[in-house]
Amino acid sequence: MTYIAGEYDVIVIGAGHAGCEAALAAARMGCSTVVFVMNMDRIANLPCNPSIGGTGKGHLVREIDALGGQMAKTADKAMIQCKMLNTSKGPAVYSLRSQIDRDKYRQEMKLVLEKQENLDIRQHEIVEILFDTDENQEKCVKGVVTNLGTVYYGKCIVVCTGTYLRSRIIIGDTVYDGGPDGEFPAARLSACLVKNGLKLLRFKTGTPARVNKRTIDFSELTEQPGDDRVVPFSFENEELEIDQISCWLTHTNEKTHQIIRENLHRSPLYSGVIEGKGPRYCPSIEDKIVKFPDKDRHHIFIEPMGRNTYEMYLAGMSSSLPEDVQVRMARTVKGLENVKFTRCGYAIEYDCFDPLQLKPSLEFKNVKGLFSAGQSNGTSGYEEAAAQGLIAGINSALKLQGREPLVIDRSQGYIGVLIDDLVTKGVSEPYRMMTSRAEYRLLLRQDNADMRLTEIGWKVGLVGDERYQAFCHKKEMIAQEIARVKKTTVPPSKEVNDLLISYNSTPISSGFKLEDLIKRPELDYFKLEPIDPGRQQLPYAVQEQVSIAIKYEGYIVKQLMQAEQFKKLENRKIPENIDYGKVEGIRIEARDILSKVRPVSLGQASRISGVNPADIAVLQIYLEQTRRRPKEEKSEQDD
Amino acid sequence: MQIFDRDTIAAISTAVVNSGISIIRISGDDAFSIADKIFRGKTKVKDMKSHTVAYGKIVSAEEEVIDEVLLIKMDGPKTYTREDTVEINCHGGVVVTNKVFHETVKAGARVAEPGEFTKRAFLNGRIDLSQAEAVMDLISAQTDAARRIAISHIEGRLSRAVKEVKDRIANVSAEIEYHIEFNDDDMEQSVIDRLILTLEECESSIKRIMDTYDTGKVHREGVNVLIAGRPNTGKSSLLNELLGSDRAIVTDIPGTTRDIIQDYANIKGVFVNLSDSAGIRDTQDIIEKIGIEKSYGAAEKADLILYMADVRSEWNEDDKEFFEKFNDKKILVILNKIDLASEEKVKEGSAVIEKETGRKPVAVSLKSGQGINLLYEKLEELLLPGKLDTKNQTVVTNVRHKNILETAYQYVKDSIRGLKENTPVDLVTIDLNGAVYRLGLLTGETASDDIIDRIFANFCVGK
Repeated sequence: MTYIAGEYDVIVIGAGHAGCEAALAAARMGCSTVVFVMNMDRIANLPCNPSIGGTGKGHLVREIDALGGQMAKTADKAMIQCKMLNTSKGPAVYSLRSQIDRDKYRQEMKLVLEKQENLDIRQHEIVEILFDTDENQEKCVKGVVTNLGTVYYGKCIVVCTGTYLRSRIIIGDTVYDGGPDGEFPAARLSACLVKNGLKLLRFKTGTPARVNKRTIDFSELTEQPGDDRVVPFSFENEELEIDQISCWLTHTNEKTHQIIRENLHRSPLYSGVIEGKGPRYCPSIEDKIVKFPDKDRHHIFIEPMGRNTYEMYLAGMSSSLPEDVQVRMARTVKGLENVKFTRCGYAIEYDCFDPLQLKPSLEFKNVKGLFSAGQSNGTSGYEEAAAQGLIAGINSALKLQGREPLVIDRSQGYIGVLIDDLVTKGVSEPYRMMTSRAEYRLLLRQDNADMRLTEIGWKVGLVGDERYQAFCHKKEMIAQEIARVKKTTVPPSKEVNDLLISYNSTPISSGFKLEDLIKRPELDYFKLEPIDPGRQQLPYAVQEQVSIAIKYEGYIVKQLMQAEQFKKLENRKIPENIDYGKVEGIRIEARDILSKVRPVSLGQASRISGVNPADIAVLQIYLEQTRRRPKEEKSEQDD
Repeated sequence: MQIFDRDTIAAISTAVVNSGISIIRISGDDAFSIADKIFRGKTKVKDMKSHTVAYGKIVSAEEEVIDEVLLIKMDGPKTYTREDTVEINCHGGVVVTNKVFHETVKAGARVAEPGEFTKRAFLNGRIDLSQAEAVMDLISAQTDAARRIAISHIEGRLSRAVKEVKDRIANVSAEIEYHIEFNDDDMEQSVIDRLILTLEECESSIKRIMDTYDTGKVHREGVNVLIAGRPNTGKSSLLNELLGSDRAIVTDIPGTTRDIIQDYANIKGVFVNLSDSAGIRDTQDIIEKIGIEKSYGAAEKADLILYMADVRSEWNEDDKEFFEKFNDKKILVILNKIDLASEEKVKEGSAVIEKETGRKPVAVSLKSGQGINLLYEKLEELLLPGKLDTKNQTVVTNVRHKNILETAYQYVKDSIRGLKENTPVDLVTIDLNGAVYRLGLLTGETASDDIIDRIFANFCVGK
């Protein structure tokens, strides 16, 4: 007899970073939700580096927060070090990165889930998804089956299985079925997915060893302290007081490289044991030595795993070499001469979906109500996963509410860039966010994520009224201050010119617009405060927006114009039921790929590789033709 | 993906041959304001009544007159595209038409894509469904043609030269991106300086390619033929003979033609750009000297030189000097004025020339018409396709390409200025990527993932 344990609006499989966001979003939007996790103590685990944020990734965390997601708030609670990267490289690429106490992060996130109304958490492995056909005879989801045979019914299912699907661990010549960080794999679900016509890819990633702090000699290492000013991830936290912990920098050397070279034949990467495709941006140390033989050393950052542990993470030493080689090469590194491992580095291979099967809402094109988010879509990184989880959670709730799905476009956010890349171009390696993937990078800054997305978050129902009011107030303050600055003229005076000279800026001899002074390369809004008596006390976040908006106005306008052009094409929608076989004049290659990707707009179609501008032109004309045909046929009948 | 923009487009809508009148059509919201930037007539184009014609002049940005034209103004939607449209009727031949067209582009119009006027006509509801099928055929057919051209271009020198610059700029961009994405440290000044140096080299490379447009102009329109020779050997008469008009001043005073005179002729079906140069001789006249210098310059670039000699005068040092300089060129020697000399004298002259130059001259009298048919036969033979090495292959041959190069050039300039002024590098990349994108339009490559691939190929990244 089948035990039917419950019936939910939304079922989330997996409680990693994607699963947590998906479950919270759905529950917060009023859906009865259940999230399944294989081990309650591993909710929101950080099985690789103990940090959140970084270039591009920090932007994602900010955007998650602006939309009403959770990651930023939990990260702020577990933060043990804060760094703003790229401060010399420009406002678009300022990126927040924090070191995280991972035990604390897990506990905090688990508690948030537990406290959340409408949300149940169950420790189970899901071994099967149940499918059905809906009233239109289309395939849809029905529920899930646990490893105990228990059935849960659900209207929407969000798959957030991370690296667990049919995963195996590889260390040297040792290979075994296993999940990340010492967990069990989810061995059975893949077969069910394949049987139901879903296409899976096989990817690979890896992680370095963890070591005991007591066995590191810090005396010769370079300390990497946090910034003086701690910047919170969440827009709702104005300030953050934390006792920061340092990271440490050391390097590999010729000896290390020699050991690696001598043992390459024992590396599963080179012996052919590993078949999955690994990420280029996160190469193992053996990869780096082989690909860049001229580099005589590589950075190793030693990062704390938390406050209440002596375990440290060797960033830069990701490896799947045998244990003895890993230990030997680590001990060639300055400061690590007597190091003792707590955990070995390993490579992990796993199944994930080909994301070309997804719509921009992250729902499968061929299965109603089935969503996927995170590493199961071929991405890598906690932040990328959380961002997708949030969108999948929101869209499953919107679907059940009978509303249009939320799709962030490429000019609105990194989340949009991420998902559009996945569902338009597919993946050939685990996908990592990078700022250079965003065409409108200067518009998508980490500092203005709320300006871009909080209103959207409020409209879908994840951002509360109170927060929305505060946001509107901030927006108003920014607009007023920009208007004031644009009207302000600075008279030439000794005080003014002394200040200008102190910044090596040319003195002024007649009244000068404050705006134009701010635009001088050597000056900014903040530096001119002493000669701007009309300025009122404003929150830092407001001043920052004013400073950037005025200083970089020219470039921002350039990008806004590009974004305008982009939107025109995005707004030309392609009907879901289009038959590309009927579009005369499109090349066969383009027809095949268009039929596979089924883009939702001409804009998306134009980004598919293998579709050229002429194909788009033909498609555009076909669309116009079909749009008009019913009308013309009708008028013919009327005659 | 410019093809969808609702911007203003322009094209030469008559075939680019040596016809009497060519029409340039401008369509879009800014058609009138663009026309007003270059048209000088009695009233402004924007104030003209719809569907009326005005006479006026087309001027460059420097107010230099390019051509006298008739301009037709048509308010949308009663036009082919249903957009505001201007048609300019030019009278000045191919070069001038191209110049006028180039001015419209400089004034803000975009060079239309194949079939774009018709496409707009359809999208704006001007033509019906059955016609739309034809439009799609047209676009796909022209794409095939364009693709064939593109492929031949890709193998061409222009494309290779552009690709080389593009690669260098893309590598600079990738290096900056590497520092942004994967390097926590500040960029060192020495790195920035090196990048500036590379970009400055790219800047001058693009400029070099861009500048070939003016020299390449000749090549684009056909075979480049120069008439050379000592003064008063009948060069201008030959020009007039070939053109069938009195274009050059023919007098008996040596040194009358002091500049290069250019025009087009259709010789036995081959499109020829004819230049008449100042006579070559040792002279003290400064202006004439400049003319002679120019003749030498023009000879450098010519695909074929018609070298004139007067049967009555001796083969002298000036002639010898010319042949020393240009002996490796394709040269047809024409022995003129045979009506004024005895048959014997003609034979003797021919023999001397053959001995001196290794070339058998054609003996003619442009005045009496003697030997002219033979001259044409000889010309036809020389002008037949494949007979001439067209040497200037690394030239920019169309306005669209020139336009793209100019934009890319500006982007590179901006990026250099940015780096020099310590503008944050994330902003500099906007200009760099703009340049890479533009140059990619020329080589037919798209850039988006290209930069990312370069980062991984060139730099050791990741923790």
